Parts: sequence; C-alpha cells; structure tokens
Amino acid sequence: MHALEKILASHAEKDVVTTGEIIKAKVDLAEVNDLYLQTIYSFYEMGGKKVWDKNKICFVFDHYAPAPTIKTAQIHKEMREFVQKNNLTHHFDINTGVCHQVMHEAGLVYPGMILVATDSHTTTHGAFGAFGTGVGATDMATIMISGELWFRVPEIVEIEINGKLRPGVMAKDVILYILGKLGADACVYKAIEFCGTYIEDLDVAERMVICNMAVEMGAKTAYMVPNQKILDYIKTRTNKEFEIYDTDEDFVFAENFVFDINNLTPQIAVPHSVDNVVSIDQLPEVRIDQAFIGACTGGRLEDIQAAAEILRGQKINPRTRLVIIPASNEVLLNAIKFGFIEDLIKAGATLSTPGCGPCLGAHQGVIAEGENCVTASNRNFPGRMGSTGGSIYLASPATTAASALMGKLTDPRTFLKGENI
Amino acid sequence: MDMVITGKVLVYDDNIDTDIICPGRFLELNESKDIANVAMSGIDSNFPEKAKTHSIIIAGKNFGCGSSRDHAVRALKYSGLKAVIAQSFGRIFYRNALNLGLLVIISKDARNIFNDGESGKIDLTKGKITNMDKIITVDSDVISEEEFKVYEQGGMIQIYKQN
Repeated sequence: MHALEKILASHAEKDVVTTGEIIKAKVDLAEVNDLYLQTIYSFYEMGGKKVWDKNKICFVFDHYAPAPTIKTAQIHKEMREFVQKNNLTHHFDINTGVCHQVMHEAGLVYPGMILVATDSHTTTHGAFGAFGTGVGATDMATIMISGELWFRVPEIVEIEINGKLRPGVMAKDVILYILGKLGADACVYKAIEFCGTYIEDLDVAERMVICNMAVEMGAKTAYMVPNQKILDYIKTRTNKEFEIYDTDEDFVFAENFVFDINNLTPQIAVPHSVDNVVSIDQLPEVRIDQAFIGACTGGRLEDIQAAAEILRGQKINPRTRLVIIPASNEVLLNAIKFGFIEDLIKAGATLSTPGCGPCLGAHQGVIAEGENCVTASNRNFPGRMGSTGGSIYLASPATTAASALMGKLTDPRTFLKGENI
Repeated sequence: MDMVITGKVLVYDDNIDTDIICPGRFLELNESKDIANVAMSGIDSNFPEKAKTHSIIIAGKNFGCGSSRDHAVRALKYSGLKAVIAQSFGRIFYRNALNLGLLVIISKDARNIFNDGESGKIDLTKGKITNMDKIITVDSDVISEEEFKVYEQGGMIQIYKQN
C-alpha cells in the first residue's frame, strides 16, 4: 500500500484498503472557514446538537477578515456564537490569518493525520505528510456530528521533480510549469505524491506551495514524505506523537510523471485558466494595474522576503498598485521584524491585514473591468478577483514584485542581487 | 424523480469552474432565490432567465473545478436545473451535488452531439442520452440504484436528516 492508503486504512480501522473502495474514516481535524455559515445550518438541519469533539474542530475567519459587509459581519457573528456554544478549543478569529497557515503554526497539523476543511486548498497539508482534503458544507456537517466521513480510496499519481532551481525561480514556477504540462483535469479524483531530488530537501514554505496547487489539477489530496525540515518545524509547534507511514516497495502508481527543473524559467498562467502556462519570456508586453502578494499560496515570509529583496530602495510604477497581505499575524510580525514590511511600504506597497484578501474577489483590493492583475495567489478564473472583465496572471512572488516595479509583466531575474531570492 | 428526464439544453465548454458558476463576491448570500439569481454569472448574465426554459446543462471536462463552495451546486439547483451532464466533474462539486441532490451524470460523448437550445432526453437506468432534435443517442455512465435513491430523496442531506 501507499502511505496515503495506510493513513486511510488506519483511520477506517482496516488492515488494507484498495483503490476505488468506499470507506468511512475518522477525521483528526475538521476546519470550517467563514464562507461556510451553511455548515452550521446543515448541522442543525441534520439533527446535530453538539459537535463530536470540541478539540478536533476549529473555525477560521480568513475569507472575510475583517468583515467587509454587513452580511459577512452577520456570518461571523453567528459562527462565533456557535464556537462559544460548543466551547471549541481552537478558534481563529479575524486577527489570525489564512486557515492553511494558522493551523500548522498552532501545532494542529502532523504526519499521518486526516485533515478535512471546507476549502479546496486543504491539499496544502500534504507538505506535512498529512492527508488533507476539501469538502462542502454537507460533508462538513456530517463530520461535525459524527467525526467521520466516507471517502473513495483514490488512484495515486507520482510526480517526480528533479534538479535545483536557478536564482529568481521559485516553487510557484515549478507547480505552474507542471500544471501547464499536465492540465487542469490531470488528477481529478486522484491523489498526487510529489517526490524527487527537488522535493527531498525542500523548505516548509515551498513544499506547501507545491501541495497547495495540486488541487488545480483536480487532486483530492497531495502527499510528500516528511523530510527533516518538516519534522524540525513540527517539533517547534507540538509535542504530539505521530506515525509516518512508509509506502511499500511494491506499490504501483496509477501514473508517473518526471520533470527536470534545472533550467526552468519564471512561469506565468495567463487568463483565464490555471493550466494556460507560458515561460515569461514568451509573452508580449502586458500592462499591470495591480500586483498581489498573499493568500494561502503566496503570503508566507519567504514570499514577502522575495518581494522585499527586489523592491528594497525602489519605487513601484506609479500606475500600478501592489497589495501585500501576509498569510498570518505571525508572518506579519516576522516580516516587520526583518524589515521587509518597511522595505515594501517605502516602495509604495499597500499593506492589508492577514487573511485571504482579494484572492476570491470578496474585498481588500478587487480589480475593475479591463484591469490586469499579476498575483502570487492560485486562481485566474474569470471574475475570481473582482470584475469578470478583469484579467489575472498567476506568477511567483518574485515575478509579481518585479512586475509591480516596472508596471508590466517582468522577469524577476532582471533584478537579481546575490543569492537571496 | 423520473427515470427519464427531458428538457432543453445549455452547452458549455471545459473547466467551468466554481467562480464562473457562483463568483466569490456572492458567497455571502444565504437565500435560495438570491443564490439562483447569480448562477453562472461568471460567464452568462442571462442564465437565470434561460434556466426558466432550459433544464439540462451539457459541458466538457472538469465541470465545477475549483473551490469547495456548495453555493455552486445550490445556484444551479435553485435555478430549477434538472441535471448537469459533463465529461468529468471537479471532485468536491460532485460530492456536493450528490449531497444536495443535483443530478450529475458523466458522459464522454454528450458534449459532441448538442448545441444550445436543442432538446435532450436522459435515460438514467439505460445510461443513454439522446438529442431529440437530431435523433442521435450516446452513452453515459449508468446511475446505480443506490445513487438513484439518493437523488430521489433529495440528496444525502435528506437521508442524513432522516437518520
């Protein structure tokens, strides 16, 4: 069996599971974000009274933090009342950050766990060796009542990534490149294991970027064997004991793909599809009205640092806005401590409070009809970040910063200073 | 629910994502009529009007990809749609549809035999989809008896409620 199958089997109290089998598995952590007031309504409609375990369910207010409208303020209000009524141990209000950042910062994510959240980007937690997957409100209400959910044991695809990135090229470029090659429906209903020499030694934040965007290929979950950097990080966050499952040597993947990234260039997913990917040097000049660095894909300290390295001592193009939204308060505090926020604000950036920001088009910098936005976030669907008549270009934080500086899509390698990026 | 469903079709391409079906700025809506009013607004502002006379969506690959939002399924269901036929579905959309009782059917070939406004017939038990105007029939996945019961009762949520 694969490590992911062993995780599913252990949570279903079975010795063996096989591809295609429907199992009922216990969930270790369930997370509900603030788009999902419906979860509470469904919980009560389905006869729920109290949540199954007040330590294993958390609410995170990130998509509407802080509330931009009266309706969303009401959503927060009703959800807070539910949190209090059920006396939930872990609650992340508007002063914390994006769910896929604050949960591991709080020591709630560890290898071998099943983490289910009302957010498609829950694949992110494969970076920690967890089985993370997204569901809608009805499935979440089922978990809140019973602590269990049915899963179909997925086919598992192996994506091997070998090599070392050149300066100015980031993990975001790697996953965009793979998306471009494989397509937005390459792994629908399937799980992905990322492996290879690039992944083996990869830092925590970069591993998360790769797993985060696995869902843009349709994946149910993503997985990486936890490396020493992950284990060291988890040790600073929790004392919880966990098991790392090994994949059996005779396990056969449903498909295998191999990528060499030694000569990879900065990549851009051009409107309006995540798999519409080209190398930056193949694009004509594209005017940029807004650049965004933030959200669960591109708002970590390393991302903000990459932008600060490019923009330190510079001024962004006067026709371009640069919106920076750290993924969490911890990220924000560290970015302040290291001087990155000062660098960025002096360069002309607009800083907003931690959360999902304009990534899903709700607030904090949405775009207008006819505007072009370059973003370190994860989706360029029509209307995703505001007007349906806007155009979204997905890129690395370095490319996003360089493009804000020049007011047009720009290769960040033009601004390399030493080996810092 | 009938074993045979008929209605006029609306045809869409590949990768109709949840931001097209129900854009993020509308996720604060909770009332069914409000959610129905914004269905497919990322691609077709006239969809709610069209849904009054068209009851089947036929699409290409990966329909409903993207976000986990139930609003995408709710928007289509509340619009009065009877079924969505696609070559494949986004995983979470598919689960949400089964939970909320929006009929979703996988067919590799249906997309190739229909144009907007033509009349379609879905035979759920036989796994056949017919263009009634051109009299062409193609295969679809068969809905199992268990799945049919789920749909008949209005989705998994209704079954959970009863238990």
